[in-house]
Amino acid sequence: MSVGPLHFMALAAVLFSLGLYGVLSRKSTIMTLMCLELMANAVNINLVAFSHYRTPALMTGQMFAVFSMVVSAAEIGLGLALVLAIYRLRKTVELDAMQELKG
Amino acid sequence: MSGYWLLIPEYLLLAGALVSLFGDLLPGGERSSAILGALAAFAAAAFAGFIGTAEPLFGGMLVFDPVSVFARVSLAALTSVYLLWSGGRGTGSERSHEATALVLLSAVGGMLMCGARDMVALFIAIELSTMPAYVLMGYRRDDDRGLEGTLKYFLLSMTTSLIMLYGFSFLFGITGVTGYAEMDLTGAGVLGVLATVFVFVGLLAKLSAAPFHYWAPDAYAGAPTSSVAFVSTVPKIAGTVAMIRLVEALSPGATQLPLLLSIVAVASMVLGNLAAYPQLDLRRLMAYSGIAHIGYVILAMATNTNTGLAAAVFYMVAYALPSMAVVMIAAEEGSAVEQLSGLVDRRPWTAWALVVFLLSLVGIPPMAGFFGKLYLFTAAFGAGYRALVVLAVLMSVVSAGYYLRIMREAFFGERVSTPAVERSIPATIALVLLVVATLGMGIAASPLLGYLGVSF
Amino acid sequence: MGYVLAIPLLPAAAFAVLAPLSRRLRNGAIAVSVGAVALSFLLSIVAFVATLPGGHEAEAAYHAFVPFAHVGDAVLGAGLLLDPISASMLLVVTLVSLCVQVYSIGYMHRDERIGWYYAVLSLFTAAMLTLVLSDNFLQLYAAWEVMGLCSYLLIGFWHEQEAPRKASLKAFLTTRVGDIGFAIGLLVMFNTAGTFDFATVLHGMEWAPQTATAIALLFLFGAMGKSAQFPLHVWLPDAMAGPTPASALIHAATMVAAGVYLVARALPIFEASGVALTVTLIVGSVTALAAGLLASVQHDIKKVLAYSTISQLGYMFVALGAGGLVAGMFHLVTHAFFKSLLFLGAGVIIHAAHTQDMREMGGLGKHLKVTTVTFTIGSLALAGVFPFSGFWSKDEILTVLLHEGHYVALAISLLAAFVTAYYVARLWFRVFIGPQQTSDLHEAHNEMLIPMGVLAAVTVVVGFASPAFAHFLGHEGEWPALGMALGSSAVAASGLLLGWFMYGRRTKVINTRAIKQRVDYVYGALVNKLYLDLTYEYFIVRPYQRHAAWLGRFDSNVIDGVVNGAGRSWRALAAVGWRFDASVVDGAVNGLGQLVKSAGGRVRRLQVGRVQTYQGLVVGVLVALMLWIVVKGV
Repeated sequence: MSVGPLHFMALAAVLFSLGLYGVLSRKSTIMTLMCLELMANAVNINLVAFSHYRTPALMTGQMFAVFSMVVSAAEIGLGLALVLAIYRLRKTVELDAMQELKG
Repeated sequence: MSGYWLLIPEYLLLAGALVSLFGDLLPGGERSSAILGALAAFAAAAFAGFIGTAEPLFGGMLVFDPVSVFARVSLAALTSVYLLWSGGRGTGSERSHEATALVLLSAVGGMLMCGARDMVALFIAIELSTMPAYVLMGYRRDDDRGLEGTLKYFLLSMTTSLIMLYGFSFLFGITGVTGYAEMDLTGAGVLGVLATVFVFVGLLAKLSAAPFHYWAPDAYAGAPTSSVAFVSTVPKIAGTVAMIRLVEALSPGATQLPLLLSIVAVASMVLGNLAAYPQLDLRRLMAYSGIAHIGYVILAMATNTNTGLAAAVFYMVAYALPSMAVVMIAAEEGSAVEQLSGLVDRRPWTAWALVVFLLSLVGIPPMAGFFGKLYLFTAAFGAGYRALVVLAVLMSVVSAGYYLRIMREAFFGERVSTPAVERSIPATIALVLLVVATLGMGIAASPLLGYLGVSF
Repeated sequence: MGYVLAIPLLPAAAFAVLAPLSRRLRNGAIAVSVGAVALSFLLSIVAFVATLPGGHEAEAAYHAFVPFAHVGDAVLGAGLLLDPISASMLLVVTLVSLCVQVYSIGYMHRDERIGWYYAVLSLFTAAMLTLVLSDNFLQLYAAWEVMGLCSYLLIGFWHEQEAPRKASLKAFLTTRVGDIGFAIGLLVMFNTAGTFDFATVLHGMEWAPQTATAIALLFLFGAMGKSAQFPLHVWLPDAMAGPTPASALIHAATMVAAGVYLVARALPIFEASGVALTVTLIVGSVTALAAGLLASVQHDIKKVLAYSTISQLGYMFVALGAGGLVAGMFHLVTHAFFKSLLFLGAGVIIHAAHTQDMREMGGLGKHLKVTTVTFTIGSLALAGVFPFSGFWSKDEILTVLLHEGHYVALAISLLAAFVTAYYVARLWFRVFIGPQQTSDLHEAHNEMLIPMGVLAAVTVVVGFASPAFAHFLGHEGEWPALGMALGSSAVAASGLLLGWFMYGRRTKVINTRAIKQRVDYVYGALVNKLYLDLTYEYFIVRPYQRHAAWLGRFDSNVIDGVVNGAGRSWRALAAVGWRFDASVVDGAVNGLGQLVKSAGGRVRRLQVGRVQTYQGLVVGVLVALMLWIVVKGV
């Protein structure tokens, strides 16, 4: 079996959907953050694969993927800091505990 | 490469951010760091205006066309006014020099967004503008409601931004480029349209357009009011410009885009105005009214005509001015609508300024909001969106209802004896500037639009 | 002629001075505001003289324009246009405003927020003057909105009480509903003509009938809101919750006439349409009659006058709908004087009697000499009795209807004139004649009586200007034909007679404070008018009852009223109208706000507070979009 762009796309799609499902269903904020990371990685796979097949000489996609990794690392760091701050006050990181603001 | 000097406004903002990080060391502490930041932002605005239009930079990644210049100048100027005001307030426990740095960094991201005509540049710029916003919203670390709102903002924003990024990856896969100039979606079929939808869902969520708006009311209602004044206005100008460029670039291939945008416009106008009506907290009310105003802007974008897109940018700025001012007043007086009562006794001039801002938001001549609506509705009407324009006018009548309630509270509310707010000269100057801009933009509407390359 | 600019600018400056200082100035506020409007009045006289001898409306005596926005080829800006129409409006507005402001010195002197009151009156006057001096529809619209704001502020002036607060919001929302029409009309106009200028839009271009119809009907809708025409009239009676002098100025003489002014200005567009004229005629006649009937069942003296205002504005629409620009404008002018006179008189009466309920008044004639004389002059003018001003302008309207062959409208107008005379008599007899029910009656101060005297004097003489006014507007002017004058006088006289028959004849006014007592009174009346009853019973009541049974909507009160009919049968009709008005139309307007509120509450519930629900909703929409695209294809 030869691996083509479609396989990468499928892998990315599966990873992205898994991540999205996790974001929607996990109870713990930490788990949702990890699922977000999964989605980010799905995107990176897509970018790198497209780069390899579409513009092998230019490496535009790889560059894009590197930027995306850096940014999502920063974002996850920020998210974890937020979770820590909330834990300090509420002693929980359950998402369902965050329903005070509504309407 | 020559041309780096075109980015001097951004350098100025960055320098301001770096210096204000060391605000502790400055004489006068936080206040002087905010004032310094205001000066940096003012210099950036002046410089961006002075540079004017120029050749694109980095092989077309950043452009300096009239729309970009207009948006960059107004964005930097608004940032400057905001910092001036927050420097004048200087209520130590709540704000400090870090906030100034964050505001300036977010402004840098916004400035880059205004010029970005490349997916990579846009993505980085968006993230640069959003991440400081998270921190600003969750600034009070001992306030769990604020942190809860911020977490919601963060999670929703990050999810939608990854959806957008996923769309970007497909756009890149289909076209093989990241710059809009060579991007050609014609003939890409369903995948191209799907990718476009992904990208727009992300952008629409950033702009808090219904039905992707859910973060805004909760995040604003929990956050420090002074942060809301910035986050709810300035980044939206940049977001509008970014979206306009994508509408231009992707429309030829994605034929369903106008329909998608008009659905979003209708949803935003209706939901925003209706939900704002019963609100008692000004932050939440302004969040919903922001959703409604974004609805009008998206209505203009759906036309995908030069006039419509220019009207959208103009309207966004015309909305941001009074909206920021109203939230500033709310930050000074207290965020519940009823806390405004008796404002006319305590601070008559502020009360009258509030009238100007609210009337502009309703769209009464000769305020900026009226001209914004006039041009916007005319453009949409001319492009055949007649039913939607009628709906928009109807909805702006509904909006008069809740804006009027604020006014009534300020003028006729039961007199509540709240402690008088410390008045400071910089904060007063900031409000005066906003009044002048709100009135002046209305009068200068037609030359400004002429600059944007449109003559109605 | 640059002084024309000062006419609206003086009150505007007064507002700018008073608004921030309103709490510190009291007597100073009065001096500033009254001084400004007095100067405006003097300048208006000068401006009026400058436009003499008048001529066709297209010839302006003065025109200045300051552009401030370019929209393509079109130039938007502010302009001042002084022509015969605006010159006469200037006189009316400044004179009434001056009288009302002087009167308010006495009326409001105890109110602690008198400075704010004068500030808003000044702003209003400035806006109204800007409106009549506008040379384009956009500026007119801007002034129109400012006036709406002032009206809102003044209705809700005593905002400590519930009723004024509610009334102010209702007024604002109802007129805003009309304003939507106006705004869309402006948009259509701009899209077609590319300009808002009177000169181009009204005289410089040929309108396609469809476009003209669209614009005219949309404008008419706006005018109906402002001028309280059926079915958008519901706000005006409630607006009486504001201070009486403000009602006199805004809700009787000037602002409510702005709708009439708009239609009069845009009349060339209405004429290009044709259909719009007919609609105007219908709206006007329905309003004139219906509001007249409603006025005759009210007990609150201000509400009677409010419905009467609606009815008289209906008259003006009738005139305009028949193409009678001069007749409509002339009625506007005469009505402004005599109705503000009546309102000011009502203010004195309310002060003296300490009530607004006419059933609790009576016998005021002996004690309030000046008020009685001036109020009587106003009443006779309203009833259309020779030689008072209302007679002349009403006759002019009837003449136009006769000439243009609108016989149905003519009949309705005559009927409305009859009803008007009836309720005028009812009001007058109840208030001034009969047993005195309140002690401690005292006449008002001089600063309240002098403005009333001035207005009364104007009301007596202004009618004789009828042909001169027509000539001034550039039309042929004639005295009313003798036949028409006699006919309308006969109608007015019979209405007055009926009023006298029912309210003035009795030596003792029966106190009808409670429903129960009212029923007794009804039976008493039945005994007196048995002979008439039998006739009505057979010709009107029986068919009426059948009709009523068929509708199944009459309740016993109304049927009682009908059974006890005689002169009362149409009173019952009015009661039905009143009920419809109170429940359906009022309900619709009050309901609108409620509807928005409840819809808002429902939308709010979407915001559940749970972040994963939000994300689910976002992803749900995304998936729906994807499915739609995949199914539909590109």
